[in-house]
Amino acid sequence: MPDPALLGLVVDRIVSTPPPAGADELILAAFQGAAALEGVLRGEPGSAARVASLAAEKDRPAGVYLTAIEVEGFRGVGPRSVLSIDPGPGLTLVVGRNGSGKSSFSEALEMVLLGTNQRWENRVRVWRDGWQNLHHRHSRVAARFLVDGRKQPLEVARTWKDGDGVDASSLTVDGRPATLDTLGWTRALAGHPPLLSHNELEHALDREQSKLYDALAGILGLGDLADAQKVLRDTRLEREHTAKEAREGLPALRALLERTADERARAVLAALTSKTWNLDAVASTVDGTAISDERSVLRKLRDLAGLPVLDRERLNTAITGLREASAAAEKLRGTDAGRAHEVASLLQQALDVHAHTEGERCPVCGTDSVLTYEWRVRAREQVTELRAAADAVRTGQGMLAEAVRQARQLVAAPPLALRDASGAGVDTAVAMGLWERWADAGGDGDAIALATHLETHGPPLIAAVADLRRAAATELERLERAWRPAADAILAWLPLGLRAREAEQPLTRLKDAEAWLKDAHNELRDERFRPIAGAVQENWTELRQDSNVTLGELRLVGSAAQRRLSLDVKVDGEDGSALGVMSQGELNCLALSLFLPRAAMPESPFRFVVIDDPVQAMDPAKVAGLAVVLARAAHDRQVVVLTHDTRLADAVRRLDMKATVIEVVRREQSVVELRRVHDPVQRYIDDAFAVAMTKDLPPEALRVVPGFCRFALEAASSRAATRRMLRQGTSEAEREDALGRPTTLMMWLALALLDDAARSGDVITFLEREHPWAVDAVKECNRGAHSGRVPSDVVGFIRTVEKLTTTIAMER
Amino acid sequence: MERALDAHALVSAARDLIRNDDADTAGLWPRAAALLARQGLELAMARLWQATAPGLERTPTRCQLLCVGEMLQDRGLGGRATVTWYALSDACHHRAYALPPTAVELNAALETVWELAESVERLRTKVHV
Repeated sequence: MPDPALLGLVVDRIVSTPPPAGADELILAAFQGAAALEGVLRGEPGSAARVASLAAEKDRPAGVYLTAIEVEGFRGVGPRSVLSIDPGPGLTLVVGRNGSGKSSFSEALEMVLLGTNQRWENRVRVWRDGWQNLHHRHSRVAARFLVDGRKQPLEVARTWKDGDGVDASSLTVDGRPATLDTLGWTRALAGHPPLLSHNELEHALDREQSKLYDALAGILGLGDLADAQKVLRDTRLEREHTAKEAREGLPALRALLERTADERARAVLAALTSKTWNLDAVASTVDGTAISDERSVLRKLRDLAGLPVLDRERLNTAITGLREASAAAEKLRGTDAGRAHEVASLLQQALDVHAHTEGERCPVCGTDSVLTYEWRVRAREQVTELRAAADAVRTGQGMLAEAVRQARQLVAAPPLALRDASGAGVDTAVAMGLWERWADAGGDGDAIALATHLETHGPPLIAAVADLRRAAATELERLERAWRPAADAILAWLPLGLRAREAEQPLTRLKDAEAWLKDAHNELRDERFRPIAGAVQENWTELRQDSNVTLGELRLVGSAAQRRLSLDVKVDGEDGSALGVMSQGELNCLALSLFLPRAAMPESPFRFVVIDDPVQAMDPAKVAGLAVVLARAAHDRQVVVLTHDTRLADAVRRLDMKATVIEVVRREQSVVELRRVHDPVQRYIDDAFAVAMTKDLPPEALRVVPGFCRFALEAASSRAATRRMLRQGTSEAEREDALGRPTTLMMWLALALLDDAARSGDVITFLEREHPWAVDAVKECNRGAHSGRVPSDVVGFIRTVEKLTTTIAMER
Repeated sequence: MERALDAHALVSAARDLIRNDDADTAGLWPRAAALLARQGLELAMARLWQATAPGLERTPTRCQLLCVGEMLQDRGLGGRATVTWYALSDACHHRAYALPPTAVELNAALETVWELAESVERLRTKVHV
């Protein structure tokens, strides 16, 4: 699921700097992954709207502060131990020797937040097997958070059943079973991890350039942009590959086509020569559905092969018809059908007239006694005869005409295919000659002549056409055979070509989308990295202290395989070879410089960072710088630092920074104790009182009181000396050296009171003169620390020592 | 009271401090145990000189440590005692940037102190007999 905030930026950008037409929906789809992009390329709608709605829900997660880490039976911690941290911005130092169990707290937090993820799986076996505390088999780690807008703290815990492996923890949130995802921090944990172990600091910068880039790009939260770019790129490459495959097959196909003497080969070549292939033409050429022009040999041959053949049956029928009709007509020759018909009509009329009029006188010629009964009978017979004769003549004439018509129908002009068969590769001359003669059947020749024409020219034509058809079919077959390999090759290639065409079609849009997204990525990256780079440089200025390495411009450049972190490093003002010139301590400082701004990005819900032992490998001079950097980060973040010595705590105190210092000590049976330390001098005095006042301690315990008092005096001396040296502007190295010198109480007092540790012999004299009330107490401290002898007025003794510590603090 | 006290008692007291999960001594026990251990070590040496070379206890401790192995005819133990004393001395003084010793370190030191005390008491018995 892409980051809504980032998508929002992209959508805004699409509006303000529109990509070329059609590229925008590809860009948005690319954020949804390769499948969605393919969908859009196929023309499926809807993805853009989904992306836009995703982008709308870009509300920031609620801020999270740490209030406690609770550990039980895990790593160095046995019985339950709780590291409480004040929620809200500020610096907390957790100070403990290596093995005191302090790191167990950061590891517990890591376990709570990340579970058994890769970081843990990569751990060495020893670790994986030894995760459970030996002294306490019930294991539970928990972290409590204060979340903005929630009244109750949020508790996230992991518990193990006895015998479980480290992976088998069960997670609860506020006591209810849950998964890490329910917290909604997965993304932030990856992009803005609030934990940084010493190991990570150590190795943060000795990785490949591209990894370093990724680690920092991850901070910027632009990972989705890179992913979307990759989706676009991969999709484009895949399509280009498909197209390439088709193009690679083309030369061989072309060569084959050029060798093939077939007009279809020419057509396909022409269709494939143009920049955009005419694949439809190729397909129709191959499957024969192409509409070929009149010059096409194939078409001519096909026409010739299908030349209409004179039907022998019909020819014979026509000839017979002509002859029979002709003979029938011959028989009736001399009979005037018209006259017979008229006479019949006249007689009939006479009969009709006579039927109405009585008498035997003819009304036409006036002759009497002719229209007799006998006349009537004969006239009637005559009418019938005459009519029959007229009908016979008519029928015979009709039949003859029909026979001629039928015969003439057979006699057609040579068809176009035959007339226009030049170049077809078959000899049409014989057929043509016969057909022309056949067609020349004479105009109005009589039926017998026509029958003779048919008889003479019909059968040869039938034979010639059949021959021609066969020849054309044979030629066609020959051409088909020659064409087949080329056709097969085309058919084999065609799917590639079709896929390639489909693949290539959106390439321009894809390239546009890619180019736009790349620009967007670069600009967003620079925009987002600028404040970080600024903070890094600021941090480095503090941390570098005496280092001769200066850090110039810091940029993320390149993309894909060329991506890297560009670090402008100068050694004594000369250009250096990036990180190679830095010591491990300096690298750690640089890594921390990078890490702190990363953790402080506003889009991270985590308002806390936990850093495990940043001081290791750091030379003392840098610790003061580190304190400044941490204190600065603590302005608006809750910074928790675990450290194995008191240098950082001392530096923080010396610089009068507000910080909570928590001391961690581990007793036997992995009993880990945590206590807040306000001031080391006061802590020693408090410890002395605690031992003196506690009733049920063994009597021997009292013997440590002078020892604690001596601790208090030495610590007070150390602090006083430090303050004086700071006032005098002594360098960090000189301070370190001076504070490392004293080995006895007198030397400490000499350093604090006489500004010279070597003058320990003068301390008592000085005290006798300046603070005589303290002399006995100092002597008791020294003696008692060894012998264990305790002054009778223990409380008074401790009070005197306490007073002397204040006096030392005010000295000079 | 002084009579009843020997190095063994101090070692035991120190071990109790380390072992007992006691709120009253939380956090202060490492330094307290270190102090007791060193006192035990020095007390053991004092009792050794008492029986073998009175007056040696007034020389600097470094001097005394050089003689322990010789006197007990156990150079190994003498060497361990020396190392332990220096380590404990470090823990019994304020050191810039140093944190209190760990339970493991303390137990190792107490082991040596106990061993030294045993050896001294054995010698004393021999000398008196």
